Amino acid sequence: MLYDDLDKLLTGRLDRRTFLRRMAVLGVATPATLAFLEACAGGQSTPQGKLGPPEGVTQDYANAHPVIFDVWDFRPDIVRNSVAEFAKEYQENCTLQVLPGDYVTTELNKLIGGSPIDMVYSQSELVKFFKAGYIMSLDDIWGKDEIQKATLPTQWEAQTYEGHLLGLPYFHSAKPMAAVNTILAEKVGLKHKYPKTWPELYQMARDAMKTGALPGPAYLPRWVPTPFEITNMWIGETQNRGGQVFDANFNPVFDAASEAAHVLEDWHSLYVDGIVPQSAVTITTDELIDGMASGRFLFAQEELYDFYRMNDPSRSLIAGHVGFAPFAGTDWGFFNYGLYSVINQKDRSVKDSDRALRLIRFFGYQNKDNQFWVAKQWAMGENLGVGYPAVYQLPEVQAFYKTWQPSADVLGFNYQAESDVISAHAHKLPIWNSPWYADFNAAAIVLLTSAITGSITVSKAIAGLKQQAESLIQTYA
Amino acid sequence: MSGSQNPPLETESRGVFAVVRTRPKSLTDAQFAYRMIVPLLAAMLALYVFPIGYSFWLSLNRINLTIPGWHFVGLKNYATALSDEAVQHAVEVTVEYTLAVTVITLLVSLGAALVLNERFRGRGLVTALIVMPWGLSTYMAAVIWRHMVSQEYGLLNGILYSLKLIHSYIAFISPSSALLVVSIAHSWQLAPLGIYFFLASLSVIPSDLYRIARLDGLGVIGRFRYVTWPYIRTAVLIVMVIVSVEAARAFDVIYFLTQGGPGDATTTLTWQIYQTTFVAFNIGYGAAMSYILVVWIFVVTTAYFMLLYRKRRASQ
Repeated sequence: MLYDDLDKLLTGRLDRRTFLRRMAVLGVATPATLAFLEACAGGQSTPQGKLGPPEGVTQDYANAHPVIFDVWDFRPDIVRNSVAEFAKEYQENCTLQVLPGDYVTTELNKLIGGSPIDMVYSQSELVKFFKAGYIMSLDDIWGKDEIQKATLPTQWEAQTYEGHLLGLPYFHSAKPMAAVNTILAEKVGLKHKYPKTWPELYQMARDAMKTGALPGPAYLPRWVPTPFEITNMWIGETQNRGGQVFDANFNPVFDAASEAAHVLEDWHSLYVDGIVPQSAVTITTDELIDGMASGRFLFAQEELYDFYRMNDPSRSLIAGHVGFAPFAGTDWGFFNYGLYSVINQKDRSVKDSDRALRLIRFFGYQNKDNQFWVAKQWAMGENLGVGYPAVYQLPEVQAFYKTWQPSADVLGFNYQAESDVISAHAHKLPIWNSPWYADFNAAAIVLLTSAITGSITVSKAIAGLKQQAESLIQTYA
Repeated sequence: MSGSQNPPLETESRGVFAVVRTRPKSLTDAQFAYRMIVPLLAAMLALYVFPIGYSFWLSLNRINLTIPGWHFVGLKNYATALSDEAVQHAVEVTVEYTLAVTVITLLVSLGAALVLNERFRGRGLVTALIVMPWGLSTYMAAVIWRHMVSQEYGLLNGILYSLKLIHSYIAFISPSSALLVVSIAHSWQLAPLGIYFFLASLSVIPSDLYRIARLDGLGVIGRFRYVTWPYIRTAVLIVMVIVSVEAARAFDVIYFLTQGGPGDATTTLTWQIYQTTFVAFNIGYGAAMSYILVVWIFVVTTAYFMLLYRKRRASQ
């Protein structure tokens, strides 16, 4: 039986998981593994194309055992349409659950409570959840090599950890970008003149305010006090300015004299000097976008995909006039991404696990007709980066870009070309791979915003941040 | 007829109920009251004992959901929490917030109740509309207030600016004023509760007492002190207890208005517990902080009720 099954495995009529389970039952798991490895070493690799879609899934079965997909509350209409398309193509049944509010916290509570979930969104908490056993690796997904070839290298790097594939692309972007209101820029004598670094932007903002031509504060920063924002901005800007917050082993390498502290000192002085509005430390991401779209700010820190909303006439008072500082030697934004990930449900059958893999392939890769169906919805619905360069070359996506991107006359450069350059230079924040980053983030938000407002000194904040990181390293050791 | 006889039936009228006893009355009022609440106590024990006991057990362990294994640490979590500067700050903010919400709610609800107790045209409609803030979810109340106080697009700034009362938009949610703004938002939502409590108490005051007080030469303040206050002071204490407890455990309004910020300006103990337990996943430590909050609320409410019963005994 061992060699019959090994033969089926090597010819793709049996997947690896089922093979090893059968061998475990027979009590020959180790010899089976050795035999498999020997066969592989002899040049016979497991045919990827054949490991595959679940078999024997009827509509009745699907209706009785829906695959469950938990999402956060962003364009649930696009997600619902995609779920409907998935169900239609595969005669499947997918239950969509929209979790409002704090997605990660709610998701964690559901996982602890044993709620059946098959697929989720994941971001910086990905590695932590994987190490805790909640996230299933996609190493067995069929067509993995083909997926990798189609994926942007930075995206692939973001979704793998220690050689394991942990998710497929939902979106990617670069942030923070230095957004520029070209109408106000012209007013203060900065037409087609862009800052090359963050300190230069801050000085330009100060000079612009001195002209008296601006309606209020010049700069709207991305100091949103939530786990996805302000701490990442601090680390990202430190890196952009040539400094380092954490080393390759996640040890804190900053102190009161480092670039990380200089960033915080700059932020504090922007706040007390009125270059930024006082509401900057309690702002939400929606208010950040609407604030820039109101036309009252010269500069803002925005996310690359949000330039669509800021240039949409139905949402923006300055549509067609919001650009960004182009790449000029230093990176502006880090690689921000969201993934689809499959939850590791211990009592889920192999068949249902394969159905979850089929769901993630549909959303995070291609549909039955080998089209990037879902990726195209996001690219054209919300201008999201989607991890697959082929999507941006589609004629309909190209036509969509032309409907809203500011012209070269307004910006002084080609929007799409510069956007591609910015994306190419964006890299994931390595600290997201540490298991304790979520804990650090919770404390960092308070320390950073307190330092900005002056409730505590910058040196005290830096000392607190370092102490927090060192304490967590010990806890997780 | 032989053997023992059943004791004679007795019928006793208690209000609209007729209680038929098969034996002489042997229950005191207190015993009867205790027996009435036994079913409720049984339900509460079933629903609360396990969660309370389990969460206390959690507080005695070091637990992080993403690190395998529990470690029993006894009262170490409590000791750490009581010496943690962040927790001490959160307790201070909680005390300030509770005081602010209680005082503002009392003043607003008492003032509104006194006005609504007078006869005027449209009183019924106004009394009905007063309930609206109470009818909203805390989330909605927080969203409404955020849209009112926002420096970028808030209604208050818009009105003040168009009336030329200000020349630049005010940051209502600043480190120095954020706690007050959140207190006002929360009080706005809680005030209708107090209004209805006070209206009920005010409605039983005989109007003759006010006439006599006027004849005696008492002014507005005198009439309030000698006529109104004796009737409403119990209601005031009850409203204080309810509002204080609501304020001490406030979460939604902070979450949706300020997220505990700016910095830690509105980081109450509840918010700290949320961050520790559900953002940092430090379950054991968060549970310990929860018990500190429970003890604090228990002490405050006990003090209130001791004051209430002492006054009641003094007046009997």
